[in-house]
Amino acid sequence: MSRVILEKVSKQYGKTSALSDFSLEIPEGLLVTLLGPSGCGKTTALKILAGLIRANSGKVYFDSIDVTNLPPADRDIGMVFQAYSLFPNMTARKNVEFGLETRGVARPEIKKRVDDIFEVIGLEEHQEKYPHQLSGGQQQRIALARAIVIRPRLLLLDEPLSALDAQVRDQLREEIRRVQREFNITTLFVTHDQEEAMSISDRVGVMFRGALLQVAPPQEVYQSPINSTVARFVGNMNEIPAIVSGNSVAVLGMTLRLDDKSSFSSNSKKRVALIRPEDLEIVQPNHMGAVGKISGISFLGPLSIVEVELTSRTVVRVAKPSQSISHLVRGQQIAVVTTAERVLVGD
Amino acid sequence: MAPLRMISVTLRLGTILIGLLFFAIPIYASSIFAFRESDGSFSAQPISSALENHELVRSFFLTMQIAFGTVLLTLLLLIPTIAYLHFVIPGARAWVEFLTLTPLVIPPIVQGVGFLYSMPTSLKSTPHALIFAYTVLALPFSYRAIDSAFSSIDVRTLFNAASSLGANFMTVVSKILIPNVAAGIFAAIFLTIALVLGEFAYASLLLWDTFPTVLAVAGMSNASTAVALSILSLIGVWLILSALSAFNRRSRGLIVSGV
Amino acid sequence: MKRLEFLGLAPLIIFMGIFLGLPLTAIVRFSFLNSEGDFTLQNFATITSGIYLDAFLLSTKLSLASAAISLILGFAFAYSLVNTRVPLVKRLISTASGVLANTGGVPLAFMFIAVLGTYGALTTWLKNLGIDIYGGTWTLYSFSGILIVYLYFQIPLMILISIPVLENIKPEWRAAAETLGSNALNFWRKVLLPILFPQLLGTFLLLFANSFAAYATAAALTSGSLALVPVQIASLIGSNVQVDGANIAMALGMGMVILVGITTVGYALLEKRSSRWRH
Repeated sequence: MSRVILEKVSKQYGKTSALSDFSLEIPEGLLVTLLGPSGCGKTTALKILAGLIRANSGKVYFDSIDVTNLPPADRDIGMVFQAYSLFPNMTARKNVEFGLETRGVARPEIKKRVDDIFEVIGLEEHQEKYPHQLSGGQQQRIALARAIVIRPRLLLLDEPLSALDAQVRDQLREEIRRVQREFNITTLFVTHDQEEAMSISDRVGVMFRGALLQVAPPQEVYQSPINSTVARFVGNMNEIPAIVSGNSVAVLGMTLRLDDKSSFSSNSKKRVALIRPEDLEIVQPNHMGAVGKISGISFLGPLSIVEVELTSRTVVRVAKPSQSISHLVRGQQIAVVTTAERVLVGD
Repeated sequence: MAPLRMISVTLRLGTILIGLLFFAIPIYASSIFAFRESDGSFSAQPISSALENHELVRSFFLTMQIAFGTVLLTLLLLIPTIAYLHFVIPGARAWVEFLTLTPLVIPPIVQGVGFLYSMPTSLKSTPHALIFAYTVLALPFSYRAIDSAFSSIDVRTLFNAASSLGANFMTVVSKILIPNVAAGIFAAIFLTIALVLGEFAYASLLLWDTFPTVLAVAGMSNASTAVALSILSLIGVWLILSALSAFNRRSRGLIVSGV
Repeated sequence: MKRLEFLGLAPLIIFMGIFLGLPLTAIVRFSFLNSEGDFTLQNFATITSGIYLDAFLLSTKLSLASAAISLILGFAFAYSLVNTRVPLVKRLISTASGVLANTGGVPLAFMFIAVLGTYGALTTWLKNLGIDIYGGTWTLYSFSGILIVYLYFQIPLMILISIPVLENIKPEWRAAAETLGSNALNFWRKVLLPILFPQLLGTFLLLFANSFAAYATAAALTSGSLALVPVQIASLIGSNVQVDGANIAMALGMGMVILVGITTVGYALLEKRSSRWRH
């Protein structure tokens, strides 16, 4: 397993810059996820790591070895694609054996490793089937096995779950994490789905328009976003009009401290406070908070989202345990306050 | 660039170049043959002599008439049938497609012989009977063109949506159905015309003076005219096919026939 | 599905029944008769011997050759085309291929007489360079000459068929093979060619059938001098000399239909088999 570094990598396509001065370290044995909307450059970064694309500038290191100019075949990597990963003319087993055969591994060793990996992913009975005879989830598990069985220095996963059904996606996501941990493989995972990113990663790198905004463990990215862009992209955010004066923020009829990670331009008029649904609370419309009317209640299982239209016409969403809101009804007059002490403000 | 990469790029460019030459050389060489005078200058004499050849001109008009008739018959036969198929019995589509491919299995020359020995004299005494024969010959291609146009839209859903919005049958057909399948219909029309313009086996067997058969005879006496007209024929088909591809960006791939 | 619904297909079926079914029936019927109308198997005996057998062999030889050469060359052209970055070239060559594959044999034949005939432009040009291609026994109307002309509609057909096939190859396969350590040759041998094999084989059969059935090219080029099966059929119908001429022609026709039929079925089966892999 290798420690992988991307150093100041840039990639342009004509006039558009897909990556600008992008640097990332993937520590040995960790699963790092690049999270961002389509077009943010995450797949470009992955392909440069794989050697499928060449960067315009910058370097790629595997364990201090400069691999920037090495072709994919010489980098010792494993890769899983979004779809069409498997060779359709070969059985599942033959697919998995492919990388080992290309490397000239001895037959007995191949048999042992492939037997083992099929046991690990639990698809022993499907070894002799062809890809078109397998479900999407099974195909991706075999693609994963094929990439891992060669003991790569780096495992690259390019949105491997996007083409699958929701339920299969959850199962496979856990399986990827389990296998990655078991073999301790340095892994880069690319996705636009935050839930995926948060649930399985050691570190999450939030990307936006070719730049890496923040790399940190999932909790940190969620709770201490480095700026408003990250805050808005990860998880749900309410955007409530606020007034900033010096170090104080007036919002929801309360005065709070300004979080110093706030990012807003000094000449913009519209300021919004970014507050998570779970940091809001519903109280009687007596003393504190902003008054409003409940405009909707969505039941999501253990949590419910209470939608409140404030008198200022802003709509906020409050997350509450479902059991605690049985007394609330639509149309009811209530007030909304925040339980946070510091508040992040953006434009 | 890695040496292997350079080799493959060179190979690829080289192949494309050879390919372009493949198409260009015969056109160029035959143009020289047809239009160059013995003194080395170029003239359009072959064309003008062609226009003066009454038999040739007549045969051209006959072929165009037959083409028009074939297109008409094809559309009349296929559009209602295919619409019916998609709307009422979509399950039968595979079988019907198979059926329409059967003319491909019987070479035109063989079909022509069979035609000669099975059709009543009344039918065989007019060249326009070729309309029926050509409709059959064109069937595999015209059917496929129109059918794929219908397949690209969900006939039933569109029809139901339009009806629920209050449109009557004729409105649905004219405002919704036809515009969406127009591309396929044009493809069928163009392919049919190209086929009729070039069809030789049937016409020569039945001894009719269509453009290809007269051209073949003319070639024996006046080579440059025949070659000039052949080049024009090719250009004509090229124009037809370009028009087709301009209409049909999303086509299922051009379908082809042999000679 | 109610039986009554199929009535809507009646016009098409009736039309095909008359204008394809009747001719086909006539062919089958007459091939088993002699000129007096009596049942006989003699026609089939005739066509499997002597000049007719030679015609079958010649047609087969020509078709195998044109199919094989156009399979390889057409595929190579199409492969280079699909991978090229200039869309204009691709559009140009596909349209040009469409033209050559769809034009009748008559213009094609004359074009080649103008190029490689005794007084053809290319012939003259080569003669000026000192190369006399007619110096030996070769003529445009010999086997290899006709083969060259046939290639001019076979190769474009192959290009047209190959383009969608090649475009269906998923780039992920290549990328996966690369990251797993395979070089290009290995990828071709182990992945690409096995995937494409059924389609290539099927296309070979299609090209074979297409060449076998071709008539116009040979007729315009040789006026019946090269004894191919379609030419034989036409001359038997045209002449009044040969006894049972029509019946023999019918038998020849039957032979062609069976041959073309088998190859077409083979093509369809192979297509179906390979389409399983490419959802």
